[in-house]
Amino acid sequence: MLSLHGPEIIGSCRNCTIAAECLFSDLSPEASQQFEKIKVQIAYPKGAGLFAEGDTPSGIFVLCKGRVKMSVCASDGKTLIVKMSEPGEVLGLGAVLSGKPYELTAQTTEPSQVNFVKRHDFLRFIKDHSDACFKVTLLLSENYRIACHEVRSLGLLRTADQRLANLLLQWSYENGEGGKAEDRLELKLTQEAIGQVIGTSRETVIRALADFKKRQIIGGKGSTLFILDKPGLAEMAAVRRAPIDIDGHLPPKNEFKIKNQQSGMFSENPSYKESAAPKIPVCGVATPTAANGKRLRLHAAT
Amino acid sequence: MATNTVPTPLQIALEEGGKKIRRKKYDVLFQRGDKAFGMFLVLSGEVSLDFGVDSPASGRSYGPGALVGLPATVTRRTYIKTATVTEDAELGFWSPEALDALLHTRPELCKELLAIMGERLADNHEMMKALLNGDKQPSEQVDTV
Repeated sequence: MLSLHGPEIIGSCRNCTIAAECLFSDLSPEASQQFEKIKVQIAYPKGAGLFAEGDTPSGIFVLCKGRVKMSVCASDGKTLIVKMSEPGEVLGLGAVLSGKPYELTAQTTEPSQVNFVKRHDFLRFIKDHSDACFKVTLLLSENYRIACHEVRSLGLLRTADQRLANLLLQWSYENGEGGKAEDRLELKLTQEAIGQVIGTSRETVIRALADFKKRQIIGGKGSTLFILDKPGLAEMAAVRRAPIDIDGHLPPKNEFKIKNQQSGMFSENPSYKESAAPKIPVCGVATPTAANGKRLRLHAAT
Repeated sequence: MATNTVPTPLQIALEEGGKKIRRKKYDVLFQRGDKAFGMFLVLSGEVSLDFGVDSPASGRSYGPGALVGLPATVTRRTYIKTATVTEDAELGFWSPEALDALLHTRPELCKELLAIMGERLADNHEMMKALLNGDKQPSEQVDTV
């Protein structure tokens, strides 16, 4: 079957080639039959909006072909890409389940095909089919993990260099097999889009990549990158904690910052490294040592 | 203390079926990055969740009715946060296998879990937006998710 926008579209979920990744691929025969009835196939060109942040949720979109950019917009218009969705993913799930407006904006980055299911039909579908409901729980948990990762990156990785190093490491692990990192990276995003993933400008991404190359942490040309110094990249991506002294007290707030005498502004002290701070043991007991009982020192359990 | 209350009848099922354990103040239940071995329903006391960067005192505390370690247990991946007991606690422990079995035998409970996850996801997206807008200070940025 051909769409108006070029690529051949998938007719039925039963003939689908992305079955392994799709939530609705190995449902019971009854559930599959029901799903075929309630879904509507839609083909979108590149750059089309599926839904926008703040819209009332109309339904879920199961991505069958193409790629979709999931983003959130700040009040100053700055865009943060939360995720690049791949075939098999379900978009708009959280909003459809909660009945609250869509929290993200979904826009195609290439010609795409989706299966759309109206909210009312979808809620009835998961009520009637427990296997589908269980799979949706899994999917939502996975979405939550991704959102947590993004919040952690935004909140704890203070500089663009840290966030970029973190992103490159994340991609290398995603590309690798069996949990091992892959040293060769094919960048699927433009420098501008990478900036939107880590919450910075294209210029900062260019500068940071050039800096990483100069320091021989990464190498390569164009869209192909090689990670040359993985420990170095991991160190850059590490969360820097405020160092705690032996009694568990925090030092003065700006000890790990440098004050610029001319501007009076503080910037991070590059000589401070995470290794200076005590590591939290894998299993342990946290004991209070500070007089106010608010700051805690951690040690390994025996 | 944050409220993250499990609605009944899911709460009843989890309370009745979970393995009861007691943990003392400052015990670490699990750490961010550990492979998930189960989730905990807080029956009494308090548990703090944080990203394992600063002290547990800066994390958000959860009291009775809270589910700790749910997403990692459902997906059988690694824990996203570190959980530390901040007040002596009684907990109901659920291994991934036990939780799977419960949800397969009582699929109606899945819908309640979905509601919890949906709410948490919405909270995280709100937090993301706040961070993007620069509304949050570094100290309060991540532990209040």
